[in-house]
Amino acid sequence: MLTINVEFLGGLDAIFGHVREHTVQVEDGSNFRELTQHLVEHLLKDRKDEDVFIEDGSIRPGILVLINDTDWELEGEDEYELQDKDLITFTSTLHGG
Amino acid sequence: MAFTDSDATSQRISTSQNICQRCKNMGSICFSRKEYFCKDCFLRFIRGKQRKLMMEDKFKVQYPQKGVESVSQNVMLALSMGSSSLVLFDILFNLLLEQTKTHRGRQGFHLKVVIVDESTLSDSDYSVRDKVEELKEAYGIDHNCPVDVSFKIVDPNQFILDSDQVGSILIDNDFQSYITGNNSEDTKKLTITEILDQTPNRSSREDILEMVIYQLLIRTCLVINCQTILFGHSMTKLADQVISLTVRGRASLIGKRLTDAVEIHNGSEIHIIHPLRDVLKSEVVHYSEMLQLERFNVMNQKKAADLLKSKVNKSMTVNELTRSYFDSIEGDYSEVVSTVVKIGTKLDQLRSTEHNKRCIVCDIQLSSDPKHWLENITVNEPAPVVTEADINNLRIYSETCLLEDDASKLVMNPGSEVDMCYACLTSLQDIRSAFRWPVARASKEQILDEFTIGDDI
Amino acid sequence: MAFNPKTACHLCHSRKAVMKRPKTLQKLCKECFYNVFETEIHNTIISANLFHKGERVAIGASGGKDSTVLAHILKTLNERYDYGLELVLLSIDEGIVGYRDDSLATVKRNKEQYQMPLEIVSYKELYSWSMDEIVACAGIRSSCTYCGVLRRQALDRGAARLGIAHVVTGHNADDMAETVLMNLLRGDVNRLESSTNIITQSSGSPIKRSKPFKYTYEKEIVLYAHYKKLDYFSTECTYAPEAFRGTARTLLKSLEAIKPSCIIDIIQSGENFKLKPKKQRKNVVKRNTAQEIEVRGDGSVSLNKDGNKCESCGYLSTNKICKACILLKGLESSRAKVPIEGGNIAIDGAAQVTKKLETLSF
Repeated sequence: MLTINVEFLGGLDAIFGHVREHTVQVEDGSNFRELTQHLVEHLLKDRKDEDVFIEDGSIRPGILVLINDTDWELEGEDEYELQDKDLITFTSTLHGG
Repeated sequence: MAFTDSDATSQRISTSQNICQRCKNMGSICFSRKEYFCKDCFLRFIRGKQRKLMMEDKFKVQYPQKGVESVSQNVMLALSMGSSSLVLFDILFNLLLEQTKTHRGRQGFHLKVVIVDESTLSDSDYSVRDKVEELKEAYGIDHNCPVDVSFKIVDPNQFILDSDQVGSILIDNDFQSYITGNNSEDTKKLTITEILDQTPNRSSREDILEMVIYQLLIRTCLVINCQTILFGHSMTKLADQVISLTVRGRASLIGKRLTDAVEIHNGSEIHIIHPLRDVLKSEVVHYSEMLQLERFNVMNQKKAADLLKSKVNKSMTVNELTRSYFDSIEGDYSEVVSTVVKIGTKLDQLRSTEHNKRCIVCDIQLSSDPKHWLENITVNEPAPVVTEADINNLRIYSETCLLEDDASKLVMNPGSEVDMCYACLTSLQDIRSAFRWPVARASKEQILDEFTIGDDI
Repeated sequence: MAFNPKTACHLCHSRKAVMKRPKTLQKLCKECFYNVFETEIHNTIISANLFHKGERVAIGASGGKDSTVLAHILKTLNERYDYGLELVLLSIDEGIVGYRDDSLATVKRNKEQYQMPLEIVSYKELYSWSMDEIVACAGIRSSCTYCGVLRRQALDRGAARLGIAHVVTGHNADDMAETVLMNLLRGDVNRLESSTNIITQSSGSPIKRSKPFKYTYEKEIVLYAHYKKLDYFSTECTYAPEAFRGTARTLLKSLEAIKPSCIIDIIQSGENFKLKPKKQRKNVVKRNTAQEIEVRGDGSVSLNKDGNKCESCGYLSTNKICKACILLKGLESSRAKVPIEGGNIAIDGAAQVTKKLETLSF
């Protein structure tokens, strides 16, 4: 099993029980997409909020994803193969400041 | 996000509980703009919209007067074989039919239907020619048909003529475009498919193709001697174009594409009209269904297949995305559609500050210098490399001699500078190698000589 | 970890790339990202002639990512390039319990972090109404519309109180592109040509507002704040209708996903919008509309308005009664049919259109 640290920033914690930092366990060899599915199934407080996080089977546009501080676009996005102790950060950019 | 009829304002009604509010006679089968229509009244309603937009005398039957030369009006219909243009064809055919009946065989104008055969550009399992034959058969054309209408199919590869000079366009890191001069290699004629295969993504491909087809239609119109071009765009399509052109950086085209007006091309005047500009897409669909015009539709086959494959928004093109946006809001918010079209028609083309510079690709007049604009907002300088480790890394990098792209070859071998508009620059920027394109265009005379569109079918 | 040239930053070739710029699709390391981010904003400021030496500038600070990054950047650039500016944080307390308390706490921390003076202006003290009270009376539907008018005036008044004539806000490229699309979707002819102005000013007000982040992508602002570990607060406004589901913004984000350059492509289009000339009418009636006037680089303004004062509250206004007072007076008598945006759209109407557009499912 892999231990993955997940952070929800930019207000995204609102749909994950108002908790910013989580630690999850996933199967060895899981990829990013599988992690996302796990988060939706187990951490999302209300399934109705799923479309705030996921669109068309992937992370909704407007949510910045970092894998160990690196843009997920450089790491293969959904296909990225998770490694033990990875830090995944989800930041919503969708509102004003 | 795919368009469905249930989203439409215009609704089919299966049971005729309501009576048509127009003739107050037949049961209604359609509900549109808060009115119930029976089939005949709905068809008449939509046909009336076209007539309102083509009320000029030049489209009416003219009786020859003694001593006065009768001028025949040739009208070209750009038939994309999508539902809107098929509906427009039906409307025009019926108009002409009515004219021949009322005026003892005379028509107000000659209708020349032009189809650009896009099936040659991708793996397609439909034949445009066959569909057109089916269409002709259904309307009885070629069987003592009282209506004089001709059909021409244009091969998109006619966009490049022998007299055109093909060149290679490169864009450097400072947004400057060049033509490099190895034309001698280009002995084989460039096809549209080859041009499109060079584009870096589907949106760019669509952008370039749209521009190619438009130019082809204009050129065809001139060659077959028409004074008017009719496009079948519905109100929804026009609204979608306003947004789509804005998103692609082609705002200066909006006013032109949206208004019905006379334009000058190559010294000749062409009147461009969108007779269905007051008709919603959902109304077009219902008209089409009432007369079973869908069997001639090739767009549906092409687009439905594409859309099903790309259910994920990410692989849609810009046009597809804006299109699905408008299709989805047309249902409850049709006023947004008309609002957008209204504001689109109020937009003007920017006057050029660039002294007659034209884009090498799409030929529009540049209104400002996109290179300058882009340079102002983009910085391409690295942060200083200071640490030992970084300097070492830099050494490793240069030693692995990563492939030079053509753009860096440019530094060694610069060609001549050319102008490009903002939108084409953005579309083609990501191409690492050269973009082959007809860079020197044939003259008007050469076009008339060489542009072959084949006989009427 | 050994250096892999294939993952090297596109600009310096010596450090590992960690992010991909939406503007150019280049893959950059942190250092080069900071460099291009900061320098581009500096270039925007210089080419638009936003500031002059010795100017006192108020930063509209909400505690959110845009204004926090704005404060940080302006402080950095002010020192690096010697703009000679005197910077002040200006924050608005709308009086929304829960939402605003936390963001104000953030702004107070920013004050310490950036060593800048902070001025807080509240709706309650300015207008005798807090947003909570307004919503209780007018309902949630109109809340954004009220708040928009009141905030703009509050920023101006807060600045005036400090003797400052220039407010900078954190509106970024995404905001600007969204404004362009919204103006098209709403058919707002009056606003269309000026939707991309970097400097704006409400008629009758001496305060000018500028947007140094005009060409800065929101994604880059978030990344910058993240990497630099800047302190900011983010939550949806309690009354804003499902901010995540706003429609023009959603369309924009979907477009950005397939073609990241579309945000500046839209801004480029927006800058080129030009209306066909209207037919000249014999009697041109000057309407006192809330048009945004452009302020030119040398400070001259396109419209000449004398400094009239609102009879009710004393605020500078071209009308007898300023917009805010009209709105709030309407509230006091529980009637809300008053024009608020250049044209005779009733408040309910305008809010309805906005709400409609915002709830369009996509």
